[in-house]
Amino acid sequence: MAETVTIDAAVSLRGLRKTFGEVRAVDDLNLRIAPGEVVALLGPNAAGKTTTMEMLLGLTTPDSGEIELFGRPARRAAADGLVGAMLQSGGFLGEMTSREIVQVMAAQYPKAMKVDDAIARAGVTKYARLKYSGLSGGQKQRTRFAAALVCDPDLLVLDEPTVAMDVQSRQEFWAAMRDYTTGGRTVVFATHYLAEAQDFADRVVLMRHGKIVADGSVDAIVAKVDGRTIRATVEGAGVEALAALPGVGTAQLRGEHVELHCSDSDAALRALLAEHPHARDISVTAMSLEDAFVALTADEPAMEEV
Amino acid sequence: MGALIWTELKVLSRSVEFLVVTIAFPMVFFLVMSEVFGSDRAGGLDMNTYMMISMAAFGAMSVAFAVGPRVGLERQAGWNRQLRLTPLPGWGYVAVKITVAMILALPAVLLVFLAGLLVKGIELTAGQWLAIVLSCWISSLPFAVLGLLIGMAVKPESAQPLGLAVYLPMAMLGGLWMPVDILPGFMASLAKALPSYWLAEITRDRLTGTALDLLGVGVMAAWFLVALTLVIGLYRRDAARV
Repeated sequence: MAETVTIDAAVSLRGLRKTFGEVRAVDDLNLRIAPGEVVALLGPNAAGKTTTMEMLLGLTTPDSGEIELFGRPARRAAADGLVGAMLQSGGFLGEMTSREIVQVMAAQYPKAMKVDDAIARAGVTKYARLKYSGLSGGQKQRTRFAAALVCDPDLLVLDEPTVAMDVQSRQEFWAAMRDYTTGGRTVVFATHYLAEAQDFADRVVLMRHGKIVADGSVDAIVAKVDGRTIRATVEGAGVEALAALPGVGTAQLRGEHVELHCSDSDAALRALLAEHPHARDISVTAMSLEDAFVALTADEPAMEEV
Repeated sequence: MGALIWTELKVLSRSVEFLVVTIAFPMVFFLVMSEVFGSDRAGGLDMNTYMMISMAAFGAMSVAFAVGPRVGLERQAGWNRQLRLTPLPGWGYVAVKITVAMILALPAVLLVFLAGLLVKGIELTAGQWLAIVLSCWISSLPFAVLGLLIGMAVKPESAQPLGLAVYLPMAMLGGLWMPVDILPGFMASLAKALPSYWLAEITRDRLTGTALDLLGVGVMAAWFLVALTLVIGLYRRDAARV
């Protein structure tokens, strides 16, 4: 049986390129995701996240490059029922009820979950018999989640899954996802919410202008930006003098509040205290994922949304 | 595929407008039109029978042109994209659409014939009834594909108007509204290139004992094949879409 062959990558993207007119949406992208990994695709608008996902699913043809899911072409993997997806561009007919939608999706697969199970897991049970067009944004998203889940996929691809959800729905959604991934399933999701990447992903892939600019655990990404912030209250300090201290990259001064972004916070702190022994309220903090995100993605002009 | 067909039928059957306007109107037209033309004879048949078959043909066509352009709405919603992520093959999607149109064409045809039998007292043998039902139904196949073609070819909001713009002239010039004999000569020749003309003509031939007109079969097969080829081409274009 082909199934007994060891498959070492759930997702393998090699040299992927896609251009829309003048815009390079995805530019020589290489990505390998092992089975069981939960990966967040993070990046500003038009970073190429959606295009990458659509190519990965076989919905968009790349200009060049190779795509394999579980060692087979994307379309084949979909036909084998290995892939479930929530897409921004995918949708359902308003006249159908949530239950009918999940039912129809289930019927396309030889080995689907029970419709009621998928509906319960996604938290759709209460409004399963209402028409899709009458549901709230968050309820629609959950219906889409149920529809993605019902084929019991080995790989789930989610493009901004919680986009229209309120805080509580979002928590419930991720709780349902955690439940689902404990079985060793692979998940790739794109999000704008850094907290979701931080809380849920094993691995974060940061994209900008169609390229991967950072790839690793949240800690590794933050470490890549390499720096800490010193905050303190200092009387009579000048901003130029502060910026000139050893180990300091940039300095900000608001009244007496000093904020120093440092490449070497130890050296900077010693120098600061030597010059201003009365400095108080001192804190040294590591970069947050948000700081790293800004540092890694925001230094060039943004491209148009594609 | 069965589940998809069943769901589409269920969704459409919830639409009262669809049921009344598309499926029942041809029967109403038949009852009105047969009064208009009175008791003349046309094409070797009495006028009631002639109009019954014309209106059944019109009904079969109407349904096909109402169902197909709905694909535009599905493309807009992203439903076909969602289905492309499933094992359902492309030809399966096309087959589902054609099947749904064909299934719904049947009640429209049957209603007209039922009105002919019960209201107009048209007397035919059971074999003749069966022959005209089958002929009318099977001949509506090119229209099911044409409707689908319109739904796939243009923007969703243009699909319904374009559907009307194709199907009304086709019904008119095909002689479904009035016998082709009373149309001017050049229009009568044009009619012979239309599947709508042959849909009714071949069905009427079942009653006059005329042999199956191979020209008619050829014309309908040509429309069917050309439309199907275009549908497949457009589906592929959609599939490769950015």
